[in-house]
Amino acid sequence: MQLGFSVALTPGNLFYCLAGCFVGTLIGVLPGIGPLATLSMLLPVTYKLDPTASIIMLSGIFYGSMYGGSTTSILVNIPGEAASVVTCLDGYQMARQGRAGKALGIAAIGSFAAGTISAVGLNLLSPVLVVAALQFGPPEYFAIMALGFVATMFMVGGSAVKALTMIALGLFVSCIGLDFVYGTQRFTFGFVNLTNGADLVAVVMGMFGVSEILLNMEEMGRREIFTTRVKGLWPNRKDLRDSTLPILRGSLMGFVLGLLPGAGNVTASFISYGMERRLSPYPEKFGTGVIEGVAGPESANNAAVAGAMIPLLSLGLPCNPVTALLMGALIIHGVQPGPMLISRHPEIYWGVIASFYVGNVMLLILNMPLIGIWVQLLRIPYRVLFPLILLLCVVGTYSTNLNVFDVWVMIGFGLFGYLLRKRDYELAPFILALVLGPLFEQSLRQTLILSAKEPMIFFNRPIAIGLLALSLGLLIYFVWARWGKNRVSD
Amino acid sequence: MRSYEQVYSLFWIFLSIGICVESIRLQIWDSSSGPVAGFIPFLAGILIGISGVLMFISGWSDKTGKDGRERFWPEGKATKRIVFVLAGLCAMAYFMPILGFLITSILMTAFMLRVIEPQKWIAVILTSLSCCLLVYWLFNHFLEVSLPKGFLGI
Repeated sequence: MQLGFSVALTPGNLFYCLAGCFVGTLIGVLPGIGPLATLSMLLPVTYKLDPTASIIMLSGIFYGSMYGGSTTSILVNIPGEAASVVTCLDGYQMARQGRAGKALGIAAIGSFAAGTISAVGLNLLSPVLVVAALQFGPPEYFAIMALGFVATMFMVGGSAVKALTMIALGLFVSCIGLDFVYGTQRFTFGFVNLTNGADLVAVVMGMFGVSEILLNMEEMGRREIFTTRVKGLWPNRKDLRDSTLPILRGSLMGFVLGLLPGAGNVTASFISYGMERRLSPYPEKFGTGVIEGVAGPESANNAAVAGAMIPLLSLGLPCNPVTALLMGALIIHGVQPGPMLISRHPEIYWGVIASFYVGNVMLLILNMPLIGIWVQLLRIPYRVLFPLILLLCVVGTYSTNLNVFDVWVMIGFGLFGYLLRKRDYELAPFILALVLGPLFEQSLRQTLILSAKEPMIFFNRPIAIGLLALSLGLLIYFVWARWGKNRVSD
Repeated sequence: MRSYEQVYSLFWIFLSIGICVESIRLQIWDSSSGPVAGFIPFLAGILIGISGVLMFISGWSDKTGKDGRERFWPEGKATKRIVFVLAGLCAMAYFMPILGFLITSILMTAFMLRVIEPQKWIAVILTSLSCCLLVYWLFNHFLEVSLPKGFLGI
């Protein structure tokens, strides 16, 4: 860990950490642009940096957006990003009662506490998992990804059938291009530009950036910006007493959920809110401006960020679309995340973990004393903001491969994403499957080649069969639970 | 057709058929090496098809018919804005290799600022020029990304 701090505290890395936290808070505050689209846009910016600085900056954007997302939820009742949706329920009500400062303050304190607790968890658990990960072969990787898909299907919220469609669609799109074993062209329709597959950055930018703007075009003019004067950020003793346990519970639960493939920070914030309401002596007051309804979810969504870094750093497996992009950034720099990362690139491994501690302190400073500046940013009209976001989407997509074809891919997926979102299709399972698809296919084919086409190989591998049994158990449980719920509602 | 959900499900079913047919053409299973190029796409196609059929059936049995009465496209002005954004993006992608990044981006930004929610010309010119020059400087000079140059060489 000493090595980590010596890396994270160099002036250069401190600067990139601050830049990441700043941009993250900015995009968290501004509705209409999420961490995923921003990471895609800024991926080309990292090409000139060394891999440690790149990942420190990109991670800073990720957890910074979790901090910033609460500001718009509390002040404008519009979530800055998806994980802050639930903060609107009580945060906005607190603002309407003149307690906006307290809500923002507890969100920042909860985020800081959760960020630090989960950084400790990341620090302690990640090296342990690295040792376990050395036992992993293709069957185990296949099984863990299957578990991830099953968990995603039921944890994203909304229709599980739609989530299944999105996973299958993501798997299909990941197959476009050359087959990695035989070099057969798959679904390229004669386009030379599709030989290497649909570019991830172009697809993400289209699905999340362009489609978000198209959706916002429906609402333009109707959005009211309510920016009151924010004062009294420091919560009083009663607020702190009421928030301590929700912050601790949210931190632990968010961290554990972050570890699971497919769960992520959005699920963590919703589950935390539900848990706090169940445990509260006054559940009926939730939704009317209860501080626990802000403290718990805001802590949970921050803790999930560090949790999600563990499978990425130790197994080389992204659990959500954002960590998938972080993995892409590492690979672009010639660094393969996974069990060997700690021995081959200890400076990256420990440097990134240490940057989580540093970044959390920076974010507390950025979010508490500077809250007034972020509030002022909400005054920028969306009609001025969206052309700039579109411009960054175009230039970010183009810069990845210096190919205009990718811009067309972005536009196509933007329209497709818009049409999907209009019917409540979740896009996160699609991106997750798109990213994991090649590894999923590779693991399955390698497994069957290893076993001479004998699927019984899974029964000889205790970790793999355990994970597959867990997937099956989850599938049965969720189907049964939903069926039971439907029968009750009928 | 009872609902938009069923229109979507029909799209998934047709897409699934297309994917499966092409996957079979690519070959799904090889007797000597097991799964081949078409295996995962075929699996994906089957899953899309199953979801499509499930959604179609659930749309048919939806007795409320609520979904069928919902408006899909937003009211006139909003639809226009969406079309303008898409048209602006397509025009930018088409003209970027011809006019170059800088000129195309200034024109696209000005178009969006002026047409979507009309603003004063001075604001349009100042905002589009400053934003595009900043982005151009950041990517072309600072990050040394080779942005498309048009016939003017910029």
